[in-house]
Amino acid sequence: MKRSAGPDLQSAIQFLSEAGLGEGSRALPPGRIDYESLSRLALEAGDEVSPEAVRDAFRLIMRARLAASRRPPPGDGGDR
Amino acid sequence: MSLAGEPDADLSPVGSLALLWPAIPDGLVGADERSRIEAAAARLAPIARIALELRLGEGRDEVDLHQYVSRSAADAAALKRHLSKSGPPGSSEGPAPRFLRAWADDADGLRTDLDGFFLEWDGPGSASAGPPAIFLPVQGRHDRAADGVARRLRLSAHIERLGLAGDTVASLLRAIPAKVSISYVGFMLGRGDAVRLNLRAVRPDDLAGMLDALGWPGDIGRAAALFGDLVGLTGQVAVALDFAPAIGPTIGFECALPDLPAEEPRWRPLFDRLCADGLCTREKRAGLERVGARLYPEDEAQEWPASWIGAAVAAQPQFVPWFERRLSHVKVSVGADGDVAAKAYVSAQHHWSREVAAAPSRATAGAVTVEAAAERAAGFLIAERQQDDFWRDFRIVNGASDEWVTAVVGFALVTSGVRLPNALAEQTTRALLARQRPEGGWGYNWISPADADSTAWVLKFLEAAGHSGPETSSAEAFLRSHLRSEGGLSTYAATTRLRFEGDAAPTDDSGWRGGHPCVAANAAGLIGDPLLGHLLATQAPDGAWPAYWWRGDGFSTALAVESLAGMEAARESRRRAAAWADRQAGSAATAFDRAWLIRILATGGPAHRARARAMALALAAEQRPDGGWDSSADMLFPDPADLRRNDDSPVVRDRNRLFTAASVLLALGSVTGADE
Repeated sequence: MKRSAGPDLQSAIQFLSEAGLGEGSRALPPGRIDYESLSRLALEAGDEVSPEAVRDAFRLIMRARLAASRRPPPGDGGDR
Repeated sequence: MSLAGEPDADLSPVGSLALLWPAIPDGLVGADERSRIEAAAARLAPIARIALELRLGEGRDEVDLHQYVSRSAADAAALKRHLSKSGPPGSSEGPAPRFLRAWADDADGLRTDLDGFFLEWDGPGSASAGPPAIFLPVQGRHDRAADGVARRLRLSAHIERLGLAGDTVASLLRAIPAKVSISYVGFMLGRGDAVRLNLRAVRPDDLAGMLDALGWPGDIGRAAALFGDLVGLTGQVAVALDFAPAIGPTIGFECALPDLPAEEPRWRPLFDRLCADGLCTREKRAGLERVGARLYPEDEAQEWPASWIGAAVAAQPQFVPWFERRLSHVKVSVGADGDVAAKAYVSAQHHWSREVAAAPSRATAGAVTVEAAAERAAGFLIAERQQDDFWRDFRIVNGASDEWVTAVVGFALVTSGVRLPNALAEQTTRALLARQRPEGGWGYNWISPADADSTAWVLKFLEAAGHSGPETSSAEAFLRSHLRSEGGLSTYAATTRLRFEGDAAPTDDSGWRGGHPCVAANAAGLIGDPLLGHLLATQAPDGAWPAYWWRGDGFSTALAVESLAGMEAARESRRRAAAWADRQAGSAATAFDRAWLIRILATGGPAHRARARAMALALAAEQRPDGGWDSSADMLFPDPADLRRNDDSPVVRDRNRLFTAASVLLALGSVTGADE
């Protein structure tokens, strides 16, 4: 059964890392938009993940980062 | 643009093509060309900032490939990894790899001295493809003459060390007068020692003399006329000249506009002209007008290149990449044989951050004076003037403002007391008079109809520049036609037809035709009664005049105080305004707001004048190295139906920082020579 990431940021990062697509990832296919290739790469690493799962985990991470970057810094909540 | 500390990651330029191709019709780049370009891009350093150079004429299908490398540590590291794949340098290494190694190693401070460089491959991937051309930046727009000369000398030394084009460039950089700003020098390594110079800010009046002096063999009058037309259409046109070492037969005019065609109305008349002259096919035009987009990986249905995903996930969490494809500029080439052709440059770039660049360092670390700050501010504004003698700032649906902004900036300059270039006031006067509408007024820009506020600013400028004539009489009549029977002044008259680029006229525009205190404040000094009496009657209890078009009231109140200056009956009104400004001064954060509070306080008593001077010194200390300030003029763009200021309206800021700089220059002038 193909693995998929959980709905939260940490499990998405862990999912892509375990699939060989996170920090220290190996050589990836050239710049084409190709989630199939990523899925195959993960399979070579012994991890069966669907192209859609790779895509969804990636989007989830980017959304989470963006939301965090738009949050006002601590102490800037109108207390001055 | 690259920010310090960006992730050190390999980003294949093929990824840029993957996100670019869906927006490029076959008529612009055919299938064979795509394969060839992709193969060439796969061999480039892994830096995903590329551009395609596309021929726009019928039957012209060649595509050239460009890559931009910034001075960032990440780009240098990517370049170094790429070069290491080809092994250690051999004794017969050509100038291009020699340059790239020097850049990656920052040899002799090469990377420290230059912001970045472009590589350009003609016919990449084909059997005839030679080494790339290398384009290096020379001078910045805001370099003073001495700084420009110093930059030319430093660059010449690098060029000599690297063996690029030998003496040709060094002698050219010496020969081009210091007052001409050289933006780039290009080394066409596939064409022997041929070099190209890109010159910015050449005035249309000066081109013919320049070409004549350089011995260009073509029809100079025809080339100058075309150049003048292009400047009139786009405002900014760089001149590209080839030398080997005598001037080459083809000269280029590069027309750049700041925004995508969907956001910048001036692309339309430019393409109209190119198509009418047979320089661009309609199919290619349609493709180019649709190519611009910004893509975000978190968006639903937005795909992302496979090789960029690992880099994005591995990057530090503050980095959320995005991608932009855009029509960068159009180049019209004129041959000595009379042949004219056009090309477009489409860029496709990966970016790491949604944030704007970190705040730049301030101008001076030592003593700050109001007078020196005013000199630098004037220099900033003069350097920002476009070649058609207009200044442009803000951006709404109708594009940037030119007529209104030019009047305000021109007024700030001619009243600043700073020594200006001889003909500046006259050239600005001529440019504005050429835009006067038949009904007598001026507008936000060439698309928008004439309005009372823009017309009042033009009249103020013309008076300050010493111009009077029938034009001013008709403008004053136009201004008076905006007086309302119930008192006050409207921005747009009842008979004016509001126009928006690409949209139908608004169904309810009663708000924009209503009475606007900020416009009355601006025009009252020109109209006199009954508007002065109306101003006195409409001052708010706290002492301010609330603005309709602005987020804050400082600008409006300062204009009212200036209109009421010298009016004995307004003494108490001015005192209340100064007291209001004094109360606001402690909490006003932006340079724009503080500038107009300074203008009010400078008309007050000794304590207020002292505070104005202290605030001016603080503003001087915040000046950027280029002479401007952070943009902070927050104009509102209310719904045309809004009868009163709507604080929820979209805010339009002076993105080019001109309106803020002009405001601060006026503020500095109001305290120059005041009580120390």
